[in-house]
Amino acid sequence: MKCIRCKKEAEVELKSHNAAFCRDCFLHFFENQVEKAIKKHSMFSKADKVLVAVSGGKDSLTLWSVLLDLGYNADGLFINLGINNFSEIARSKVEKFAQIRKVKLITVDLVDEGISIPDVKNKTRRPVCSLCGQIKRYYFNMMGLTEGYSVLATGHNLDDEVSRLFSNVLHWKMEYLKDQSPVLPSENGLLKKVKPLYRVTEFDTSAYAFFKDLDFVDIACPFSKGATFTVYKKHLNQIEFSFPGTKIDFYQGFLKKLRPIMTNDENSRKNTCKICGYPTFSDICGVCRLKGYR
Amino acid sequence: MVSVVVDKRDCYKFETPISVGKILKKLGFLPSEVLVIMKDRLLTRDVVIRGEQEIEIRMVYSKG
Ligand SMILES: [Zn+2]
Ligand SMILES: [Zn+2]
Repeated sequence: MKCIRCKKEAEVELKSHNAAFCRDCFLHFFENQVEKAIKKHSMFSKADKVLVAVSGGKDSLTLWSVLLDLGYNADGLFINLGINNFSEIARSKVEKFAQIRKVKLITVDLVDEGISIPDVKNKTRRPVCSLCGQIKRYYFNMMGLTEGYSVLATGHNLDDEVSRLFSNVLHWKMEYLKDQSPVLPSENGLLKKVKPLYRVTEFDTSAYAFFKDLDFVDIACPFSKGATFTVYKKHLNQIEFSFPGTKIDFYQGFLKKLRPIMTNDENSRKNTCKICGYPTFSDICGVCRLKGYR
Repeated sequence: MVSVVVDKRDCYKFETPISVGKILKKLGFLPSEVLVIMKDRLLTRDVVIRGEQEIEIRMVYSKG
């Protein structure tokens, strides 16, 4: 197979784009897709301070790497979840990246905050992954706003977005569907959030990480029950294999046709937490309650 | 023969010559869910492996 751009031997075949690329041309294609996503949705500009949520995994480190290569002003935010070995490995990968690229990394340590994930798991009966998500969102917003960032970028790729959309449609989770978008504007005292990798697939980010020799965590979180989404991703890839282009059509069709007619009013958080000032539905926000405030 | 190591765990052997596409089919993978690596390069599914070789297959799905 030859590269469609330069006719060298291809290393990557992208059926959805009816294309094959050599290493250099693939990296060019990948950066182009990310730049296109950023521009199309006015995610941010070179003048903005971008905070990248980095977990130490392939997607978030890929995002940080490509934003830096494209010349954006991107710092990292790592949240140490306090899950023993797993969090330590993740922290070392993220710190190593920041050191090599000479970029700023902000770290929040949930052990110091008194709400490490193993700790809160024992304290409440809520599913641990939803608690972890809530705590991470809280610090993404708090750190982003207090440190003066214009926007928070996360490493969700097309497969993450499409499998989530598929799941939300299968179960008609209207409140989650309303929140599904490559851009969530800054509102209700929350930071603007963007997903610059939404046009590239899990395969694309893996190939990018391989070519760029990124050192990332490739073990699963011991608490993760992420199997459902992987099952959806596999089924969606089967469909994509038979009908190339289906995934991006499904996602962009949703953004264009359904999302604009979904209203988003009853969801607004009217109060602010009396302890920390975070937007909340009640007097005290969820994270302050986990810290023991009543 | 080509030795195929999947996700640093399982090892399979196939008679050569054989195409990458054929190996993926035999192992039940779609080309979009794995990286096929040989000597620090990625292989597309049309590549035919000849002689004694070693290749590595890495699943692309995040481990959550
Ligand atoms: Zn090329
Ligand atoms: Zn609070």
